[in-house]
Amino acid sequence: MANKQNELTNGMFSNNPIFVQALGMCPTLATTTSATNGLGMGMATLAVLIMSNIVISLIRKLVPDKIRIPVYIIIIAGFVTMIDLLMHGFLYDLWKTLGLFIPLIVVNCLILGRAEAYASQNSVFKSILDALGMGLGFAGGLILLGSVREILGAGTWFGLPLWGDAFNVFIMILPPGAFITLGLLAAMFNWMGISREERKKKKEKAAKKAGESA
Amino acid sequence: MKIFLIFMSAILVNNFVLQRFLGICPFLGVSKKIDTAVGMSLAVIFVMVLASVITWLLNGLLVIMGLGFLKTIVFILVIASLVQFVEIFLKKVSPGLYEALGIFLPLITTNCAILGLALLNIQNNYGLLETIFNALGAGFGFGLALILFAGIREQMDFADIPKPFKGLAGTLITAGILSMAFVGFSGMIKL
Amino acid sequence: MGSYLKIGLTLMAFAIVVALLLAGVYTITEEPIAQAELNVKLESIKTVLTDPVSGELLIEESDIPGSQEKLNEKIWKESEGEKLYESKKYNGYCASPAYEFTLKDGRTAYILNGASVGYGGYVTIMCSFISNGDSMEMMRLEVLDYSQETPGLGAKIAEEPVKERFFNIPESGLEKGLVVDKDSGKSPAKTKEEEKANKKEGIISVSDLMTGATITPRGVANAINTMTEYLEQTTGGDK
Repeated sequence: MANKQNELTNGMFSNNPIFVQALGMCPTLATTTSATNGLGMGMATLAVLIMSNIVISLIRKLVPDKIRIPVYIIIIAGFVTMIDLLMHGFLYDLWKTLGLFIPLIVVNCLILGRAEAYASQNSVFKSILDALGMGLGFAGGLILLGSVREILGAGTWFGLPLWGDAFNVFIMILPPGAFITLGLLAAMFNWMGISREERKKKKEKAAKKAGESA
Repeated sequence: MKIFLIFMSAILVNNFVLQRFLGICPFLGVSKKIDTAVGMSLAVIFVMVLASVITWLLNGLLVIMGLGFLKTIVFILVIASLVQFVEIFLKKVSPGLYEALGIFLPLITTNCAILGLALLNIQNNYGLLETIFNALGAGFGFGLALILFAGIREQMDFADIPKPFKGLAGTLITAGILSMAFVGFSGMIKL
Repeated sequence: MGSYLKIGLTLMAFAIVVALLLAGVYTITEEPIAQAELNVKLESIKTVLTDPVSGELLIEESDIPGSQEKLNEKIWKESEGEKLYESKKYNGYCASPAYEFTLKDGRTAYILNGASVGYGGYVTIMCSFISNGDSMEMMRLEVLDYSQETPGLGAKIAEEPVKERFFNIPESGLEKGLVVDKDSGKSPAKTKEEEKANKKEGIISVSDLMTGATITPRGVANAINTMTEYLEQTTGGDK
């Protein structure tokens, strides 16, 4: 049971695609102009990630090693095109907003990375969990970034007005805002990691001292 | 006249890295030293122009056959093959550069800037000449951003940066300030 | 050689399977995609045909086209290419096709799509011009594409209060050629009556809502002027 939970938390926290692995930077910066857009992009990427992980895990014994990368690319590109078509037909507004970045899911190093590093070597069930963990971690990061930019830039959250026009830092919605917000968030996560490390070291030192004096 | 505008716009007003957010991964990864940045930029310009022309021609073919929806798959396969060729070519012609670029050379395949450029050419209904100039502009714009950033980062190596900002965080904030500078170009060219 | 052939064929097999599956998804989504695109157009048309004062839709419910074919029946003018008309003076164009609807009260409505250059590129709008035989007024507009304008500044053009400043422009205003109040030299209107009077002179009062962003509303004004130019040429004297 603990093993299965690990796959999920691995992708969502300790090995978070955005803040730890620094993968998928392009859509992270481009589609997070609002929390809703971040959520939409995150869900689309999650869908492709799950489907491609399933298929690649299913056929992992059938693919000759020499051509595995082109095969993975074909499969991922196929699912991305499917998602693109389905969104065009059924989720028009979101499709229009995300625009170019839906087909660009193909080159999101996260998906090819998981296919190569995990799905090609693990069972279907485990691959699904891995996809869920990584995908939710990615989506979570997108929603976080989108929320910060939307709240500060437009005074709304998921479209619901918080303080509206009263306080708008609209550079948040422009490109520089994306870079700076992500940088500050990364610094914050860094700082949390560093303080956790230092607290651990202090505990170990104290335990050692207690052990020595005992 | 229009192709000149497209060229300049792709470099400054709609810089692929700092405004369109395409090509961020290599931008953050290869911009540590100026000479690797230059090498990467040249490789990217080369792949961009070639890939644009080939994908533009193939798209014409796909549309005639009514198979436009296959363009994502076809484009990415073309780009992947092109990068393979560039790798083999570089290994023979300039092994030093090949070593320096290391893992980042095959990663040009997943450089969203190349696929993004190919798709934008189609989206904007560019003709062949416009496509080529857009590719050149995109490549030079990418190179400009990359080399500028490498210059800044080489200086940053000597700065005393607080611990949480070391690495990715500080790099991103610096990129943000550079991006702010480029926002100053907006409105300059109206395509 | 044999092993390369086998590898090549395996790769091709994968590609063909994926392509076939995609073709299947494509055929399933062809209808919904066409319908989604059509719905977007219809929404805009319904909006510009709704009286901004009374909130009433001015065409019969049964007259709302339900399909692309029905919409095509309403085409008034179209051209081979994308543009019906280009205006050098106003740096704008009218897009093809233009539609014609008959309102419940018998008047004719012309629906035009057009654009002129704003801050970063074209600002595209859809306008309804209502003619009662003697005169024509521009009743309502929708802003369709303003993606090149700056968020928080020019992008405010799509907000309802700003759009409203462009509604119900009488013929006298259209004939003069629309300008935004900043370009007219007149001081900004302080009351609704002054706004209305300004519209008769062809002056659009937006400076209080679009401070620091004059270029975008100027683009919209020019887009309307382009349409007026086109209408004068096509309908000429008899409206």
